[in-house]
Amino acid sequence: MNKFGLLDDDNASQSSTLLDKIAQFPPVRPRSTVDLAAFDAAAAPHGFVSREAPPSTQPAPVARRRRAIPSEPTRHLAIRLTESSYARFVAYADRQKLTYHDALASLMDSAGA
Amino acid sequence: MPVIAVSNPKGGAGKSTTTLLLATYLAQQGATVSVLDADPNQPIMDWKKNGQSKTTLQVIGGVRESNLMEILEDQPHQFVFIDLEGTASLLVSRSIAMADFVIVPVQASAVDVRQAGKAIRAVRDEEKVAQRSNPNRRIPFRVLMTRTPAPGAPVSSVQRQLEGEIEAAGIPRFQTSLAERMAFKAVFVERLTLDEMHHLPVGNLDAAYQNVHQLAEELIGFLEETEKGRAA
Repeated sequence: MNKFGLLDDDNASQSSTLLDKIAQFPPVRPRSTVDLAAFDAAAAPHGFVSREAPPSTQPAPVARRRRAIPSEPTRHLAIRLTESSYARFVAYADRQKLTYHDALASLMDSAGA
Repeated sequence: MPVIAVSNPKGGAGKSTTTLLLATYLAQQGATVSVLDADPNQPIMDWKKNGQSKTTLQVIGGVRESNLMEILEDQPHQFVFIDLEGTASLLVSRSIAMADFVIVPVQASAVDVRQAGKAIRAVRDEEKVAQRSNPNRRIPFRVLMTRTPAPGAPVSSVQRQLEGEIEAAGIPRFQTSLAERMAFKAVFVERLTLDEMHHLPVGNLDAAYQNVHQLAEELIGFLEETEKGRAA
């Protein structure tokens, strides 16, 4: 009879056989090192891919300086420009940490306009 | 130390139930057992941490792709189960690669079986990779039918078809299946082992216990074969 009487005597004898079998399993076996990259590559075609977010290596983006309150009335200017010019302009503003309107003013100052 | 991965990329196939029932049963029989809870929902960790069970089962949570190997190395137990997440991920495939045996639980549904096919193909491919460095390396697996009707209850035609298909495809499976039982659900609700619920009004606990006993016997039989194959 087991502790809580869940098994009848026949089952209890089955259980003791199982107990003997369990005892044969040793606790620890050192595991050989494996080539994880090869395993990952084999699993990838079956859809087994990483679901964990990689640790971020990018530095936190530096916030652009907040727009100062202008001392004179403002006007709105919407301009369409090529992607490359757009990228150059935004990169310039980011690099100089300028707002877009300050970046434009700075470029005009440089050009003596 | 057999490492037993319990895997099916489909959620709700019965992975955590299978893991917990087998692990607590073996622990109750005197074996030293740990469960690595690799499911992001941590169902077995929750069971252990927030429950009152006196089981000797050790549960390790927070298993990730990056620490799986280290955690496995640290296990001083006879049996280590890995309860895997219901998705196809590197954590799952790496666990399969490190396993000595893989249990693939499936419900009698086409979706479950198709998703189980993913796990089975991954096992076979991982085995091929492992054999490059060790030609004797085997990753045996068995499909386990879960949430089947209790013995004597009518079996659905879908289940019969699926069982036929599994057999025709030569996919190895457990002869024992885990039946749909209130007692198995109660294990998670009460956060106790089957053995510890004798005082609770849980239906047919003896039959549930016998079901797990048969499954554990079959598993131990497979693990013995695997050990012998490795020693030969």
